[in-house]
Amino acid sequence: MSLYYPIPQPTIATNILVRRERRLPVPGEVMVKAGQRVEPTDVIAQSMLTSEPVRIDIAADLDMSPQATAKRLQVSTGARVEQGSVLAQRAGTGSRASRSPVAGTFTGYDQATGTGVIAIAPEPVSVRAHLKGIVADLIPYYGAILETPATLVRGIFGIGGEQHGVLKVAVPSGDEPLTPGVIDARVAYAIVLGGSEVSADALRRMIELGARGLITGSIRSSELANFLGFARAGEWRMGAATAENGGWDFPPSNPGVTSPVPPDFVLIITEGFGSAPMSARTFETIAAYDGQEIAIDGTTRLRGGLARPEIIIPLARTTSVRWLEEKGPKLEVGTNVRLLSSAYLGQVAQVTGLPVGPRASQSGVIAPVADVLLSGGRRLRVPVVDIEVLE
Amino acid sequence: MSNDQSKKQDKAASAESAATIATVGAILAVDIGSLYTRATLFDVVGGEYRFIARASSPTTAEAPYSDVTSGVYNALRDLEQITGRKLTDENRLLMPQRRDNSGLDLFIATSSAAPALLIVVAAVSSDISEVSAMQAAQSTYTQVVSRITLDEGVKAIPNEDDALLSTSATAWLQEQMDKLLALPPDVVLIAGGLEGGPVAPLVRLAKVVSGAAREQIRRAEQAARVNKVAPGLPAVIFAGNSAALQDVAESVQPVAEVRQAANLRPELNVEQTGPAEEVLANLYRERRLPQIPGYAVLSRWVERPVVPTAESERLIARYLHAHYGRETLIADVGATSTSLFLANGEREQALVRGDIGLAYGLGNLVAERGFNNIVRWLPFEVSEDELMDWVYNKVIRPLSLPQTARDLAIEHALAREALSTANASLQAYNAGRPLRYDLLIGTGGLLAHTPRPGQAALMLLDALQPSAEGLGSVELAVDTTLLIPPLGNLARHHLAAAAYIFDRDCLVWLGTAIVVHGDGPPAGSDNRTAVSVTVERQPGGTDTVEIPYGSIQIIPLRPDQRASLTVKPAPGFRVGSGEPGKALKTQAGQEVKGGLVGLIIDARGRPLHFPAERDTRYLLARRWWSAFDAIPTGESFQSGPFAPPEAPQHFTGEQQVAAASDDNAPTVPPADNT
Repeated sequence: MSLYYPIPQPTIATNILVRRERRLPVPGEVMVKAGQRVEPTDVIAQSMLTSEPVRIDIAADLDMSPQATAKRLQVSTGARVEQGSVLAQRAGTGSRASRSPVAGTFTGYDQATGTGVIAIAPEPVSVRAHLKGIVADLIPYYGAILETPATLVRGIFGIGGEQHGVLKVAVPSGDEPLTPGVIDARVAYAIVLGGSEVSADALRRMIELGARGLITGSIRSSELANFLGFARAGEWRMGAATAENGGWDFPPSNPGVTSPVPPDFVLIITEGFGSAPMSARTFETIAAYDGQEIAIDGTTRLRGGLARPEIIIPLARTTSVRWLEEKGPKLEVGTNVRLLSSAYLGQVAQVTGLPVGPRASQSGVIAPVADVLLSGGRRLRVPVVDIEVLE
Repeated sequence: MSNDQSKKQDKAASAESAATIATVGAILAVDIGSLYTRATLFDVVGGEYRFIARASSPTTAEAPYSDVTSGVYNALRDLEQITGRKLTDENRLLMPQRRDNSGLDLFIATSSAAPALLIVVAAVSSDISEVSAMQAAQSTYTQVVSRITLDEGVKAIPNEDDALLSTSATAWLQEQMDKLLALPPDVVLIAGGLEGGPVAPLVRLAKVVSGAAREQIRRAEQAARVNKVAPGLPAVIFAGNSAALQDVAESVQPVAEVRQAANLRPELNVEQTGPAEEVLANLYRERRLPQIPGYAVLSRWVERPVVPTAESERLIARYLHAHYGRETLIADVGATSTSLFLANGEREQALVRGDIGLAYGLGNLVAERGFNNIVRWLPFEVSEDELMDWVYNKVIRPLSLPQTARDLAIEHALAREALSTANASLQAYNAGRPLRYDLLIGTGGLLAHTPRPGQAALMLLDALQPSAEGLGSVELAVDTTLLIPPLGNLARHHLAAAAYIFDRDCLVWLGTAIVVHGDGPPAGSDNRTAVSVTVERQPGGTDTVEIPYGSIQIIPLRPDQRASLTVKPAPGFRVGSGEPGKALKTQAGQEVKGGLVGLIIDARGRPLHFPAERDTRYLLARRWWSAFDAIPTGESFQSGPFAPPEAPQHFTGEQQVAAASDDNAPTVPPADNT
């Protein structure tokens, strides 16, 4: 089992039964029935989000008495107001205005206190299936649990949230970089499978052409920073942000800068930073489903609610699916592993020995190690924490 | 468990009264870090308390476990395998200890796994009260997310009434409130004002806090409606002019909790950070430790409350000074935090950077220090792209260990910069003066598990640059068994046992460093002799060595040897607090201690000088590393033009493979680096 994933499943798992909970943040109406087949865009449950009315001290804003303020109101009760629109104004020398901090309906002005109230219209909220599958269980008032036979692949980090679309394989192998030149109009509405690294220009080109997402092996931190609108890599502070993510969303948001990335575009990196190839096993597993509808989720959180990206490929027809073992595959002599350290990122090797007890690895650091044979014939002794067992 | 629990409590009660060594046998101390959970077993051997064994396992605070006790069990199982003792019975601890040595009598825990407290320092002046407040704020696991000082842009306001009418003051108030709301803190530390001074500035700071807190309440209510969690309200620590307490409390208390601590600066020349540090430490214990997943179960197992790791480490520094009179600095570089603990004749201080570390804290380190400050420590070329990619690969896979020599050197460069950053802050809180200590101890996974002792010694000297004021020498040691956190905690229960184990089993001595101070930085081709050192080993021969300025050299002195020294600085150079050019000689009974590295003569000057020219800098760093036998075994640093002309054999990959297949059993515990 890998050390970095919130679900005890291997990073690549074929023909398994994937169960996912789809849940509203507030109670509402569940729109599906148990046993029903659902498509990614089907609404599972929906509700309305109401907000507290906002009270504005208009008299204080104008620095006038409540009575005098009443004469200077520019909106009538029941009027629709936009965020920033003027509610009342005092003209002349020392002119002042009171503006609405939110969009809503002006429901009245209280002459005793000098305050106005704006009711915010309830917003509809819904949760969609995201996956093609079957409703296995209902969660009354909140949603449902979906099941689908699928192949599941995990990434190490990503940007964006949930997305689905048809898989489009853009490169012939996992060690091919994805350049703007190979991206054409066929990526529209698709989730693209790249190989090794990708540049910010290539990502922008994909967005221009309407791609919904990209799965690729690696990206240089400078290219990602450029893509996300940071001046340079090396500005990513972590551990202090909103309580919602505990400050550990990765990469962190760029404070004060509106992200140039559309919110519905999803990027998933399977190996890490740099220009590493996508491990052959990962590439081949995903590429086999070229042209099929897949679901991806780029959410990445390193601490305080661990989350890593996932790629779910629902299987159109399958004869046998299985539940995954709790602990995933074991590290044994003969198993295939992928290497995780920067120097060998994306390479696949076979375990040839598991020395007993801690030993000196290549760097001299003493740790539990494995001897591995790389595909090129090179032998290495690597710390066990730097490898990941492939299924 | 409940039966054992009551027995344990009975035993604890009797231990309190008797307080003799014989009342408690096997002691299990766990330290739950953000990456690794370490379990250490102590027991009575031949009538004496000794360290028996240690095991570690990845911390299981995150999914799929979301319970740190799983990691504790994993470490315990390893400990059982190592010792052959039974410590658990299925899913519970065996307590108390049985006649056949199985089981435990005492279980205690320390932790640094909880997230840092986000803190805002609000002070009246940036040059006085803010400095004291920052010092108090960084005494435990905190991340200072913002600072507010009244002298920022509103200096011109003569009095509070004018401030209320002033547009710029209102704008400032709004700006500061926005600052607080952008990163809602857990704690706001308000400081400033001398005793008997004006209270208005402090009230103005309190208004910022209460305004922001009101807005935070509104946001929290909105978030709660959609089942989302909003940041809790900050606690306010008031450590300013006590006359302002009532007004501050009136302003803040309706919306946030106010805790009072004694004024950090009661008089201009008096600084007392202790009371505010204590209040902050309590807040960390109350608000953060219980957030560790599985804390409720863990706290039922342990004898007394779980203690923050930093508090235990601080206690050891204090013990070394109080008991042995050693002016001590303990340095700990971890996955999420970097800490220094100083205890000398002038003060006892902790500097904890809860946001800077070598795994989760790496992003913040790089953001704060930048590329150039990190690569200055490297004896080979690394592009900014390569370094940043390396750093973020470590951030996304924090448990990974250095695979190649290059990886190890980069990790050590980052560790140097983390320590150096903490050191600069600590020095700033000491009025910019060099820190006084003659014993320097490295702890934490990375320092404890450097493949070679020279690497740890050079890292400590590079990063902390001890000035060795006073005697002129500093002894270097590392806590290779990582006993400092558990022993600091054990000292609260059984001081004698902790002291006994510390003296016998804790430290590995690296050697003694003599620090030579020069006049200005060494020039590029500086061949001036800085010092002549005569070493009379006991037992062993006598050597006289002349050390040029700008260099660092090692004179062999084994751990079992001591030596009398005659140190003759050249004119313009000094050692310790001696006059320039004045020779020093060790007194009888004060011979210097040897170690795994030896006697180190550091004549590089202070602060360290880094040549601007890249190749010269690489060459200099290589000389330092070579002197300490610190060049990592493994692949070539660089196959290009910067490969060292005098590259030793262990630069080659073939040599590394041979080393890697060497089946000799290791003599040090496995690395759990951070």
